[in-house]
Amino acid sequence: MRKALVVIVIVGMFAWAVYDFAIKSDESADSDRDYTVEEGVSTAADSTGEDDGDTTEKVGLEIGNVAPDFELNTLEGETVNLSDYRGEKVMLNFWATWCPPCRAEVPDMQRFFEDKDVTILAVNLTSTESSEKVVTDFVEDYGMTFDVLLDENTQVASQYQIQPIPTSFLINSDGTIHNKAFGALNYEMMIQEYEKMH
Amino acid sequence: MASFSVLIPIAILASSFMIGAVLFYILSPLEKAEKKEQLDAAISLLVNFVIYFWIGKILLNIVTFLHHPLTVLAYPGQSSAFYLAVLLSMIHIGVKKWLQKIDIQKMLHTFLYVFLFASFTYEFIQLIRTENHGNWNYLYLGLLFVLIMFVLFLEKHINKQTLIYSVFTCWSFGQLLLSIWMPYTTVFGYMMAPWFLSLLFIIGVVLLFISLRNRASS
Repeated sequence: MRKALVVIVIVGMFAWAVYDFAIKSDESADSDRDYTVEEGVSTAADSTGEDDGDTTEKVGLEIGNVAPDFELNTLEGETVNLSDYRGEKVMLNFWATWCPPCRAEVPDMQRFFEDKDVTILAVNLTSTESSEKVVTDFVEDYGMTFDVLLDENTQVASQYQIQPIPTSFLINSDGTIHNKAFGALNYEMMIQEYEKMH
Repeated sequence: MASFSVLIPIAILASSFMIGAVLFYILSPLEKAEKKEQLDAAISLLVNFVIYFWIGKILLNIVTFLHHPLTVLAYPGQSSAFYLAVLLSMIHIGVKKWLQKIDIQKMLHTFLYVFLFASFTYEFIQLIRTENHGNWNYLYLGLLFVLIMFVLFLEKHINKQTLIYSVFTCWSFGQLLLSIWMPYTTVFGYMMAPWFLSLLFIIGVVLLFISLRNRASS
């Protein structure tokens, strides 16, 4: 009797998974037909989560929302916007040199950047650093070749409601948030998320 | 909210193993006292595994650990620490068997139940809670479903040792195929490399062959 009940529950769970798979396959086929990428819809001012009047996509910080746009300078002094990277898979990482898990995460991020076709935007919380030189030295010491952005007055960190660091937003090539990770991701976690991104 | 989200994966892992243990207790034909004894042994095996995993994590990053211990401790462990924990657990079981003459077959049988049900529960929860999961989750869930049904329906018809080794061999072969066809495969979130799964598969085939040969000769 107990065994029969367990078998029924397990079969039920598996049947649900098969049904879910079938539904997902249908949705995927539909979206492949209708899919369009909305260009230039997200601005920092849109980050309230309100529907954008001209698009069907919602700007916000939840999974599936379009990641709010921002503008920051890189360590080399170049100005970049998040929206510049539409069409690319982006890992947006918030970090600081004094944070132990961030230090541990950097070598894996570098390896991830070298192995996969991904853009990494490492937003440094510069106002929490003792000086900008600390960041420059750190980048050289760790051999970081991906873009390091300087959030000098933590405006972007506030916009993204960053609490713990490191925090990473994995952003699909259409600008939507695939996943958020509070705390450090290791190389394998990055690969797993990358393979699920579109 | 953020710290809560860090605790969720740990809670899912712990509850999956709890469900695995409860289902073993419900389904096992053993006497109550023996079931409890076997469960205690399986839990002790799991606790040892976690300890070995942390030791592996530290040993594999010993230089960093000596300079910045928090950097290693606060960072999630990679599959290399998982492999080392598997190796150390196997050595632990071997030493225990040598010293105390424990019944490995009974222990593996309990572990098989707990592992299969815990894995099935864990992967099912992942399907429910995450929107963005790939086809891998469904395929691995399918493999676990087939193996669970195999165990539940054929347990009384197959020798216990043959059952354990054949399920282990099928699981490692299924996982090996997934690691080749899909971008990756995991066990409780830890990525498994094809070389590791191939090694497990070879060990499974050898053990199964020995088990069948012993039965044929006895």
